[in-house]
Amino acid sequence: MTVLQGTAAAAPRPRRQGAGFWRALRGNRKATAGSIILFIFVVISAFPGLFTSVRDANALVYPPRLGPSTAHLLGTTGLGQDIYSQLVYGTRQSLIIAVVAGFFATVLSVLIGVSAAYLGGFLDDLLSMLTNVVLVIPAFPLIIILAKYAGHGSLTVLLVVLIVTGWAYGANQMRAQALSLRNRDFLESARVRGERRSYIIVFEVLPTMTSLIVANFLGAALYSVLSAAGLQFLGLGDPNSQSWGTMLYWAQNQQALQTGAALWSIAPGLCVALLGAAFALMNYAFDEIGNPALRPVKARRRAVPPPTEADATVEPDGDEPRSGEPYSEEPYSEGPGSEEPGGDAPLLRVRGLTVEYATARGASVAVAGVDLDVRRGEFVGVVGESGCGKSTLLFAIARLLSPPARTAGGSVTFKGGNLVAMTEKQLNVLRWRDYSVVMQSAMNALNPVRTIGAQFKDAIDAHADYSAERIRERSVEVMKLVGIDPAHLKSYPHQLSGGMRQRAMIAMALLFTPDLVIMDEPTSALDVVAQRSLMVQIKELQQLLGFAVLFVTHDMSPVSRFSDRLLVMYAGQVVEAGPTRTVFDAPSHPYSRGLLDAFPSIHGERVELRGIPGSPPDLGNPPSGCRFHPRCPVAEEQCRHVEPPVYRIGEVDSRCLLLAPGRQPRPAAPMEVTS
Amino acid sequence: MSVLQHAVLPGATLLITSIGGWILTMRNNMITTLAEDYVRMGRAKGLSNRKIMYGYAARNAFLPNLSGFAMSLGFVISGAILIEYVFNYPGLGYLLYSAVQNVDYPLMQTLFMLFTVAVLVTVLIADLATAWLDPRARAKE
Repeated sequence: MTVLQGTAAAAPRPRRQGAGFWRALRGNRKATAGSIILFIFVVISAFPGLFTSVRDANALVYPPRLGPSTAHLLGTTGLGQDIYSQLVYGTRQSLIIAVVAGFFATVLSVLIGVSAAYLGGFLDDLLSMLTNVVLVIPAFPLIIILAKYAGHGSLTVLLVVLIVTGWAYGANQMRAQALSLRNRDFLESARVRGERRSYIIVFEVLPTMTSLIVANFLGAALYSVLSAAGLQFLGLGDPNSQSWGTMLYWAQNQQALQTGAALWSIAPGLCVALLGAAFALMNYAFDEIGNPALRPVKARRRAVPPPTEADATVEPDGDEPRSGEPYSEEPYSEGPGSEEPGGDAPLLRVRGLTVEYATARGASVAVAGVDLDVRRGEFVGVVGESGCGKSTLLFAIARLLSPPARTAGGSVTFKGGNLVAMTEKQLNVLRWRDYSVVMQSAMNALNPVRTIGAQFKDAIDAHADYSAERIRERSVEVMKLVGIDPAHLKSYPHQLSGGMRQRAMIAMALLFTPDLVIMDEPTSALDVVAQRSLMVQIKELQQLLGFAVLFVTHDMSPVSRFSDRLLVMYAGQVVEAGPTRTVFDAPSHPYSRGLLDAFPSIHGERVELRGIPGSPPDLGNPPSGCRFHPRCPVAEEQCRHVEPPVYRIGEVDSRCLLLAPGRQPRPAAPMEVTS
Repeated sequence: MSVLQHAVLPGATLLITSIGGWILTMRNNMITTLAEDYVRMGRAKGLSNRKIMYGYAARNAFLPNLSGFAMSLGFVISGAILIEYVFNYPGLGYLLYSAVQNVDYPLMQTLFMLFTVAVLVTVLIADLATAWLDPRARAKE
């Protein structure tokens, strides 16, 4: 594999599950338990002589049906054999069956599944059909018939039968995974390099399928152990062999349960179950490592606010020092006098909102003490790069975070109540009637199995007691508002175009004409023309109905024209906030300037577009001092150490040390906007 | 009546041994579905937990299970061989076992075909049910 590392650099292949994978496996309790059991069985099967002094466990030399004693740990069988030593010697066959049948069944699965996916066409059809036919045939009856037909089951016959019947399930999965890998970039690049197909399959495809292959082996091994035990129990194995299944057969044959030798059936049964459990545990562990969401939830975690903010009422003073924010020089606010509750109090006031993601390496702060205000009827835009925490901020405001994300501090005052401190019940009173949410991708945010109308009805029923007629009327009304034929209320989400789905989402958000509509990049999945018309429509609706909008996007163009106020977010913090026109015409923060330079202007002269060098910081370990300093073109020495407070420059709040009072009002910067 | 009475224990055994796997599969599907945007949307809409769980999450999480469910009916028949043998219950599985013991090939063939047809029929029913429950499957053709 090392040969490849250099050439594959152009299109990095997803890493083979390497060191991290094995570390995850070691840390997994199920994997540990499973491998310990398996290890014990392996040792026993390798050195049975160490565990028992009996040499021929099948010899009928003891009195039958003895109870457990020091001489016979588990007693003797109805035929006069030592049960314990039979178990010890039987281990080997079960393990051989598990490993050999599991291995070859997996090899067959991989061969047939991957070939079907890569050869394609007629051969794919043929192999898939074969797989499906084998899958549909009831396996166990087939095994029984085959085992009988092949003569009295020697171990080899048993193994062949198990392999022939055991590969199909895995082959289907292998084919599906190989198909999904087929068009990935790293394989395209291998093809472009002119690698042979067999080479690509062996060295590029198989390594990425490691975890599926291992899981498949474990599953096949489990299946083989259980089936083999079943077959031997039915007497279709070799009755003179030493195995747990054969023990069960003789126990049943001699009516062990009725004659007081119950351990004769119970002990081998438990052994089969234990070995099966070992394989199953390891299999689940692999599933969990592949899909971390499946891991058991340790404790019930909820977005519980810290006790200091347990009170769901308006704080008389919204500008008290925020947790984790050392500065208090200049209050981040709209200026004195505008804060009296009841007077001109904003509809939504967010103070010091902090959101943490629990990760393996400790908490990662995605939103760090964000302040923002939305007044009635105002259109507030939040912009920032991907991963700056803007969507997390929205979900925190709407109380829609799910673990591992949680609100760690701050308050969200909406119409006089603190959303952060509310119970789900209290929230549900406000939800949809007072504030609603429009999500990024309407395809995923609409329930695929219910019609648009039914989903409207769900929302209405949750908050009001309308008659069916009234629900219909209101649904038709909002659909007309956003310009969709109300006939589509009977449509399912997948039957609408992307733009229509997004409009339907907005229609749903307007069912109760809320005071605030929170929009998470509603236009980013649409093409430019659809984006523009949707934005115009949102603005028109807003002016018509008077709701306020909190709008998050990574795209400057929609907010530049339509928003009243603009917040620029970087690495979980608001770095600049002010009236949209001011921020656009004269950005004060170096990051805002960089962001604006990255977008072309239709009007005005042609200027060279500049991006921002570097990439957003890791929020688990943000840079010291100003979070933007590593990428900032005008950073100074102090920016590395001093966390900048928020300074007010005219109508704009900006989080940059270069704007400190006493310095020249505008730092001389190479990125100065000239227009 | 006695048929039912004697089926209680074998039936219970069958249920207990197979239900665990289904619970696990459904749990895993549920967890995957709960991370979907439409579940979060359900929360945003302020729907009751029950509505979100059954109408939004479970409805969708169940769909991929359907065909597997049908397949497992075939495995129920095969699993029943062992159970019927243990309980001496004179069902199809036991019949197959005695056919094998007596090397009765015609009976084996007939039973085997019966099992296969049963699986095919359940798969067909599952496909129809999927079409009924999942509007996207209806739209394919």
